[in-house]
Amino acid sequence: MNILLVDDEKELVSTLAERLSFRGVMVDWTANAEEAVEMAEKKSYDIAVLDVKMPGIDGFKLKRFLQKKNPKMKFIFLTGHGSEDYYRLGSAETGSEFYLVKPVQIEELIEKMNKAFKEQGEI
Amino acid sequence: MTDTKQEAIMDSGFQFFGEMTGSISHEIKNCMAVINENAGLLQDLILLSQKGTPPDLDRLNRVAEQILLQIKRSDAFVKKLNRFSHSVDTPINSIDLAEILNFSLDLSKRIAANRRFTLSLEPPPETIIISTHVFYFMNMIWRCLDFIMGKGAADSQLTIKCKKDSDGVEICFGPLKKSDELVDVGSMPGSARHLLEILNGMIEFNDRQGEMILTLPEKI
Repeated sequence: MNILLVDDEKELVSTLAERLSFRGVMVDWTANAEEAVEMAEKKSYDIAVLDVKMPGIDGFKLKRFLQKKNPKMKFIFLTGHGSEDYYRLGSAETGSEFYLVKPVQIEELIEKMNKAFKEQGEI
Repeated sequence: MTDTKQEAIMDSGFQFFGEMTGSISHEIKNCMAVINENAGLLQDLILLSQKGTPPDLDRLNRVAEQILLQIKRSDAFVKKLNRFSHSVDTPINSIDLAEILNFSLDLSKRIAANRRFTLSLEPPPETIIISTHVFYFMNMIWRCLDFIMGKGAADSQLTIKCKKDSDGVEICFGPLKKSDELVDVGSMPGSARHLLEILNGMIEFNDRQGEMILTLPEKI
């Protein structure tokens, strides 16, 4: 499972990546959305964990870029904004996305990744 | 002022308040998220240590430092929020123009960055004190920035300058692109024009200089 983590808070995304690695989940990460697009050009990712609000390219825009490279890619959005339900109801991007509200519980994130991966296998 | 205008100004105020507090709360959330991850990392490192991995004291120290840094950061955001929330305490106040402009830009910079803009203030050569309605003033500054960014009227860097002139004070936003869309005050939202009225101000566009100029009286 190839996983990409993107959040403009470098300290957040790097620490999250480190903690995931302790749990046997290896991820690539970047604090820059443009770099994420470049990374996806070079490697095929199954799952992308994206911050919603980022300077320049936000999480939803980034999702569209990444989906062009791999239409089967699954997405988990991290948001500091309100509740998960707010996004599920308010966003036009419904269906196959998962949402987590910051600060995230790492076990919950891994659970969402497993669900996303399972869903991908069912496509 | 008519009831409709009053309502429009109130709505603009609520919108401004919501946008700014939303932005600041988002920043505080990010700090909390980093603290959360570092606290979790501490627990992970302790667990590893209990399983036999020798503790990396430098690593532990870096985690502690990061937590302290994020606490400092979030404290700064809370101070910002606090100051903003108190801007409605006194209707009219004497303020240092450069200082309040700096604060207004500080409030706006995260939203501006999300829209790919960086904001900067060129300080005036002298201290300029104005007497105005602080909350409406900050709202007006935000409406001007929002208008310019929304129209795509500038490239990614917006600089604000201010100076005294015979009519009061001038606050200039630029450099702006040459554009037929950005022509007159009439193209600004109604709430912005009503705010101008309350502040006894006016806006004009200087195509030659590529600037939008907000003029306000020194004393409202």
